[in-house]
Amino acid sequence: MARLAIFTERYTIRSSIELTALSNFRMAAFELDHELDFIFKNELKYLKNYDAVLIRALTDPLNTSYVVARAVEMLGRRVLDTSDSIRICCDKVNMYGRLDAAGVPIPVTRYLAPAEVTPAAATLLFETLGSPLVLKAPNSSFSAYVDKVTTTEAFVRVGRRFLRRADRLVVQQYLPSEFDWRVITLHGRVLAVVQYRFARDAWKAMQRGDAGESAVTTCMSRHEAPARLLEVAIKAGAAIGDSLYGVDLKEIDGDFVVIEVNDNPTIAATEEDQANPEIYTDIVRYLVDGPASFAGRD
Amino acid sequence: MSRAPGLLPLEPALIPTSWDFDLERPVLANLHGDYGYLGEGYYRSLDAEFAGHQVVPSVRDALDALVVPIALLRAAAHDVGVPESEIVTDRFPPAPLLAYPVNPFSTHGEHLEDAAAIESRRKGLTYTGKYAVHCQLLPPDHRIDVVKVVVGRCTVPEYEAFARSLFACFRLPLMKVRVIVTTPAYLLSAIEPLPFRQLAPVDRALLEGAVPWPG
Ligand SMILES: Nc1ncnc2c1ncn2[C@@H]1O[C@H](COP(=O)(O)OP(=O)(O)O)[C@@H](O)[C@H]1O
Ligand SMILES: [Mg+2]
Repeated sequence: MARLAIFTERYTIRSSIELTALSNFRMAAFELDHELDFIFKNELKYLKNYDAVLIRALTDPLNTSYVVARAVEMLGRRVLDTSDSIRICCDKVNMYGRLDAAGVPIPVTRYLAPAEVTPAAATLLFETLGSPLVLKAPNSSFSAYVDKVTTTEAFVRVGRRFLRRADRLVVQQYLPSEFDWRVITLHGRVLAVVQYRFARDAWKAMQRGDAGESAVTTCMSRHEAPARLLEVAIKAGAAIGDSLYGVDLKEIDGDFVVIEVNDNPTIAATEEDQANPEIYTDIVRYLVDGPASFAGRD
Repeated sequence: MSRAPGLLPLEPALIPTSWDFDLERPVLANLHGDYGYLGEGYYRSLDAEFAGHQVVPSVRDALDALVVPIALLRAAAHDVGVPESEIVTDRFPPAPLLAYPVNPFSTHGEHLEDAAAIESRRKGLTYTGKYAVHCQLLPPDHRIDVVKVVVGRCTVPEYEAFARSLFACFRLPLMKVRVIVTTPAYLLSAIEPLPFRQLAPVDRALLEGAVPWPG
């Protein structure tokens, strides 16, 4: 029997499908005869009471979740997400740098320092990477600081706005698609395969369509998913580390390009668990036994 | 000259024996001094890591030092003295306290002298309970010192040993250190940026013999 904790926050519990997912984690633990407590940020001194911790709260190196990850690691216990994953995934310069170094296909990407965000640089980038260009603040999440620009004027204006958040700007070739693939991986194993189909006339998963509708989540079993999709997703996860990831990919001319590796991927009941109800058990087992928990399972 | 120099190789004699680097290759010191998350100094270290250099600080070191509760855990694991502390969102321990917010907007610590000070700052520091605050308990007769540490060296003789152990622990070539001084011990409270341009000539002199330095 292991003592497990899920570190979570009020806003997670406020979402009914995320709350149900938390309950599903706990039931999975109970079924395997483990204890599972929820722990909040005013209770961190009790982290030492647990054998392993799962983080289900927004992650950022400057948030309490990172303190949790580092504290549990310093206790020598297992934690998802690892602090390395939080640190790498929350800074797109770090994240894309690792993917690139590992030979994982990503859109053509440039990183600019503040002095390099000029009309002349913009003109050159439009010539070499095409138009539109996608600009990102390194610490964007939920698409909040990701924008598409078609003119040098907009490039400089949006670029300078994003530079208020960080001393680097990410500039990327635009790869259009009608949906994002999301593959949830854990230490080299695929746990779920999801498609987020964009709202009409939207180009980002989080963006609402003209009629206010949001993206539609559909899942498939990993046995039905394209083999090449899973191969690229696993390679992308491995380029970051051996934690829990949501790898976002676009299908371009029959091949796959990684748009992002997220630490702390959303797992909401009736959404990401549709075709993979065992995702909760998979994660609980891993918390207890690590990669050995995959042995003898397909 | 006041522009921060780039990355300079550390003199081998200055490399603490506890560091796990390959000593056949140079260990580069990033002398920017402000290693704040996603800032220029942080990216200089990240760029160096990607180029395959052994660099201090790594971006992990930089964050460990910046996030106060993590800094104290790391310090304690390296036998550096730390105050008693607690992370809270609502119920603060008794004053006097040093309170450091844990949120993406500010790491600026505040001195809360008495119960009234806690009451008036509770909501502001936690954004009405939304974010955590790291509270350090201040012992009865203490004093707060702020010390500049340059590659583990310090201009104040009584701080030389403490400065060396902080450099060994945190690996920041430049740091401003907030210290809680009690009669028996120095306790680490927080590490703050020490931008290169803020170094006085006496501080810069500490770099002589530590890195290739024009003097
Ligand atoms: N280079 C690109 N070309 C086309 N669409 C993109 C590109 N990069 C990101 N997007 C879309 O924008 C959205 C957010 O991008 P992402 O990099 O994941 O930022 P965030 O971390 O803020 O979610 C995703 O839905 C993604 O499909
Ligand atoms: Mg995304």
